[in-house]
Amino acid sequence: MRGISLAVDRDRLLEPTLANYRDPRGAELPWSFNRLAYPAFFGGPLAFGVLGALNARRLGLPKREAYQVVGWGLLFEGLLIAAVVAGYFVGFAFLTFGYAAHWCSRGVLETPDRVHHYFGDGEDSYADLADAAVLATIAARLFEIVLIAGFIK
Amino acid sequence: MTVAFEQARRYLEMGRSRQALEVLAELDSSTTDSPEAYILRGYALIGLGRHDDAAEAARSGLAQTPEAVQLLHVLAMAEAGQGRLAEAEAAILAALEQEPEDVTLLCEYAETLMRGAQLWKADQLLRLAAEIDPEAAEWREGRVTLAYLRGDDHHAASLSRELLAEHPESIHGHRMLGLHELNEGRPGAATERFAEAVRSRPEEERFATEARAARARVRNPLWWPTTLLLRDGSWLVLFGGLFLCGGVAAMGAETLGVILFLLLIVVYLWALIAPAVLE
Repeated sequence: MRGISLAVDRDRLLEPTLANYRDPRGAELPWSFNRLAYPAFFGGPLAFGVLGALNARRLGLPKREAYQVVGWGLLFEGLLIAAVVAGYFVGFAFLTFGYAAHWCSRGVLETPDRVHHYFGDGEDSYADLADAAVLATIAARLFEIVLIAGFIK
Repeated sequence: MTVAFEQARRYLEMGRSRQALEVLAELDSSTTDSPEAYILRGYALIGLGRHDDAAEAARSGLAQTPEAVQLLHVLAMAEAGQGRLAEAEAAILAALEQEPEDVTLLCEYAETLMRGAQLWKADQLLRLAAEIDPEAAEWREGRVTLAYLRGDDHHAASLSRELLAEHPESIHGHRMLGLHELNEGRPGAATERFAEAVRSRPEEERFATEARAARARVRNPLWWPTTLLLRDGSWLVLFGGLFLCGGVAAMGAETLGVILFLLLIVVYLWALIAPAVLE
């Protein structure tokens, strides 16, 4: 029996499945997923959600995946704001919320990122993240402060 | 002329594609168009990263011998190297049609599928290759790559150790284990792994870059906090440090406690930022 099932499997394995393959990457190079941990850490879940979703598009992933990343960002941003507004002492732990969103997005972004990097041109296969990260960090933290201040009032 | 082919093949085995190409350039007109010459030229060009030239060499050879498996293999690698996966797949399947049990071809197909992010099918092909030849290094190497692409770093590391136990000469095993050691905060060990890869493939620029990066982490003290942070149990060091600060402050030396605390925070923040700044 085993021999028969194996033979069927073999034939199926040797059928083409890449015939419709197009290079999924967009016009712009993606950012490094590991490096996105920086805006996640310093800028929080919201900054990561936005950059992560843009990166999902840059990696050529469908919109659904991008929404999923935004979803993780919004979830942890909501938790953070709720915790602060409810009066819990958050302290330095506020830095970990963005990191949590980054960690949860691994399932969506990590493998495409690694495939892109491993088979690409080494460090040249990534776009520079610095400007976008600083901008997103400042914007997201300001938004956060305004929102929290609004809730507390 | 077989002497020249033999010599070129030996250079290719040593990872010296440029010298192999030089030997092949000196062939006379009767042998320069032979399938053997196209095969060796193709492998050498791929070794140098000249995928478009390699594809052209393979096509010229295939014009004479349309069914040559090795030329199809070269063509598949060259097309995959240019991101043309559909063409690469067509070539590798044409080769597999003739040699369905060739482990090298099966693993090459698995790698092509990995490029196209079809990891599940790649896994099945590697299993098939493992059944056909349990001793071969190729499917073990493919398995390491697959685990890495899936994000399972610890599994990838244990698979590379298995690979190196069976095939101590595997460059892929040394390199992947080196990358893992680097991510675990052991740049000294990683440096030796990368040096091994560079010795075997002196022309591969990527290996040389990785070896330099690992050496920098050992030598440059600015890297050391990051190395420490990457080690297992680094969070214990952080908590121990915080505890010490609190203890010092509680014993009366409040200023010292605050200074130590700020120092700790600065070092840890630097450890986080250093890879972005130094690389």
